Amino acid sequence: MSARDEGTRTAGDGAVPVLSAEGLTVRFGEKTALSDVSIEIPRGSTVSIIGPAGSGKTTLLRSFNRMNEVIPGSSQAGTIRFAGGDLHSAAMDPAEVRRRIGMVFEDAALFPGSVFDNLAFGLQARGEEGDLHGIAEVALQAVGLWSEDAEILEARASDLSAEERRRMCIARTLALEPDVLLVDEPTSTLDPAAAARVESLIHALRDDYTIVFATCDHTQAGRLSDLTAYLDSGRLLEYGPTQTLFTNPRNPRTEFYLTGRLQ
Amino acid sequence: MSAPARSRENHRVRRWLRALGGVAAGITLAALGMLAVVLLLNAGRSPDAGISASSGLVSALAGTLWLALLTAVIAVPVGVGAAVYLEEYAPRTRAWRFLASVLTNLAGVPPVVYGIAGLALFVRGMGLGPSILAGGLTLAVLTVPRVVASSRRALASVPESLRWNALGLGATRWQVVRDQVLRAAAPDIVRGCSAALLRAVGAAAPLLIIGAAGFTTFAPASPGDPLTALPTQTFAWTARPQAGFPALAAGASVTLLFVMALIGLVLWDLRRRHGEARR
Amino acid sequence: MTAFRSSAGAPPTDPRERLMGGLLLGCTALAAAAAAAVIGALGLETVRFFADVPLSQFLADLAWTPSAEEPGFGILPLLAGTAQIAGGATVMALPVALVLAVFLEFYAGKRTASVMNAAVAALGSVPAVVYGYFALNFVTPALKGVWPGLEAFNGISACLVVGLMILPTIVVLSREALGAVPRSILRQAVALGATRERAVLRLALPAAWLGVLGSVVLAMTRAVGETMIVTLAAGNPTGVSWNPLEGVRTLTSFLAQASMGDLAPGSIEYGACFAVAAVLLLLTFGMHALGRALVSRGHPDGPGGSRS
Repeated sequence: MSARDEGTRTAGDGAVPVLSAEGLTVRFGEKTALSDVSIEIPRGSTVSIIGPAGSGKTTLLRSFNRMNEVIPGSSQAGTIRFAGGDLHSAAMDPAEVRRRIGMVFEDAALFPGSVFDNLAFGLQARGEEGDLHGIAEVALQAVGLWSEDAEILEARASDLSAEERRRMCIARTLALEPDVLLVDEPTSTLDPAAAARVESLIHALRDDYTIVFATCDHTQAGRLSDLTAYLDSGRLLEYGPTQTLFTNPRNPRTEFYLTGRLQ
Repeated sequence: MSAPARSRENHRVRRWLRALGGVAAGITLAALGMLAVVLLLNAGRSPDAGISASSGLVSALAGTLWLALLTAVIAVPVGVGAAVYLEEYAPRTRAWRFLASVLTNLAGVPPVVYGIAGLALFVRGMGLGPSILAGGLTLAVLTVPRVVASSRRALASVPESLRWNALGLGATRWQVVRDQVLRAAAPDIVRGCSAALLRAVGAAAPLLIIGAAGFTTFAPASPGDPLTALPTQTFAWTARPQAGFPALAAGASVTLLFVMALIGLVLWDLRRRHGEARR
Repeated sequence: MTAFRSSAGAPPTDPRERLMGGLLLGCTALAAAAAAAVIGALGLETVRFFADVPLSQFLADLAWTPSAEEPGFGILPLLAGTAQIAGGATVMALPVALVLAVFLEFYAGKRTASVMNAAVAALGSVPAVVYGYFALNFVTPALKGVWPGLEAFNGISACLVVGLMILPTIVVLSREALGAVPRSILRQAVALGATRERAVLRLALPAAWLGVLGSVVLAMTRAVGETMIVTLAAGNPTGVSWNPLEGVRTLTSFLAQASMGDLAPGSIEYGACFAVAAVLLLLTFGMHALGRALVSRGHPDGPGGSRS
């Protein structure tokens, strides 16, 4: 059928995919969250996933770093390839996968303790014995949380504002120097001004990372992404350059969603 | 009913609720106060310190400390470990859920039943006789389900997103459990363990059933020595109507409460420090 | 309950991961073995007992006198005694505890609440044997002033003191249930023009009632298992009396007074103790499961709650 073929074809133009899914179906118990999704994420691109609530955006993101399998009752069919290898092959350690394909969750729980504790956790889990403070400093600089006096490292994570928490959670993932950054709803629950600032942070990170993010704000997808995928009821209905998808959607349902019309 | 009438009505309801609450609080405080006064007054009438010592208070105290140690050393690691496995590792199959629910609900089974099992298993079955060790094992077996039940509750109240976020940063299962989940649940786990441990320290019935001695003149120096403890000593003296014994029993009660308060204080301090480290 | 188990089912390869997984599994195995040993030991002797005494006699006999020349093996008198004590204690504790829970949760000032919390916690940690001492040496003599006909060992004193002992269970768990009612609901009600009293009595209490019921069931579980207070204060009569001024014998107080250490294993009296213990195990296990289920229905976070 067309949607998938179109999607793959469009995305495949000229770029090497760093991540790709082929015929991906994910079920939680009896419920099918994703069905037969095929998508390629070109290296260096910024891809947004849009679609109504419950359409499978988060599930697709979580598939990319093997986070669905920790949910009891989940099952999966199809393949995901990362840098050419099968993401689920025996040679792939799930922990290693999650370090190389970092994810910032929408429900970004703070770890107990200081900001430094939060940043150090992933590094220590990896067995990092180098300069944890140095790495933390670089990561905090990248998200604009660093101050010269390094005071932020000792601050309690729970004392941070909502925006600072979001930035810290992004820094927590960046500290691991992932190849791909998955972000689920980058600006949800933030006030408009803070949302705009976090959005511009994501924009700045586009130059250095392959980013895949899910958002229910499709104007944000339009502002940030090179490619946009439209998911509906677990199916990938359309995938292509953001510009094209927004101005000239091929699937009528995409158009309905983007224009907010009732069906 | 007109608006002012209803407002008067509600005002009356509020006054009644407050008054009732005050009465309930008064009853509770009065009961606690009477308990304290009765114990202290009677303990104050103890014949003299020499008699209480020679009649077994010191050996009972030593026995209770031994039992507390044995119970804590066995029941806390086993119970917390089992709770962690059941909550964080075990697959959610019917068999594992059944085991979890059996272990949890055994927490409601009274100590006296464990005493009977302990008699059959440790005193007779393993041939330990009515020793400190048999008593400690019995108390440990009755404490494990309580620790499992409270620790499971503590672990279950840790938000799922904490585990996801930690896993998402490439941590392994054990790293997530040790560094995040256990740390977050630590205050509640310690609270549950101390409650369970204090209940065990104060338990008389199981020790009576496995055969705690009414009188021991020498303090137990090893787990193989005859079983004696403050709660059973309190019981033995309370059950004797002769003059002087109520005073001795009150003395033993006060000593028991003092030991429990001391243990509780140490555990409270532990919890406080954990709670601070957590935030 | 969480399972990190991957759908692929691949075991971890890291040796430390495997070691810790193994250690935790070992703890679970130990706990399970202890539980199985307890249940097995009781079950074995109970089965032996029922080989000698038919179940019909156990259920229908109206006397429990295993050591008498013509022994009676009817569990009913013991169950009746247990019901009297547990029921009486609950009746005495419930009104005070419930009022106290509502008062502390919604009305008491900060200082009052912290004093009362400490008092309730203190009551909850006093060992049963100390309560038994209190019942025998203070409550019974005091009650004798009111009813001169009161026997030295009587049910009323035991009920009062067991009620005092289970009071903290009801207060603490009912407060948790009331506290789990979202405050936003109450604020909403007040914003819609209801008074605070109405919001508390008509909204919070009904919303929390399953949890409150659960706290009562758990408190009764403790009362059913309570041994030392009953043994010390209610005596060891062989007959059944519904007069609270007379003594009462329960499942637990029979066990405590059977001086089992001296009974010959294999004798019928020995077996009878195990049968009584097995009945207690089944009864309290079931009550605890019911109480916990009720309590956790009021708590979305509890085990068996909404976690995926």
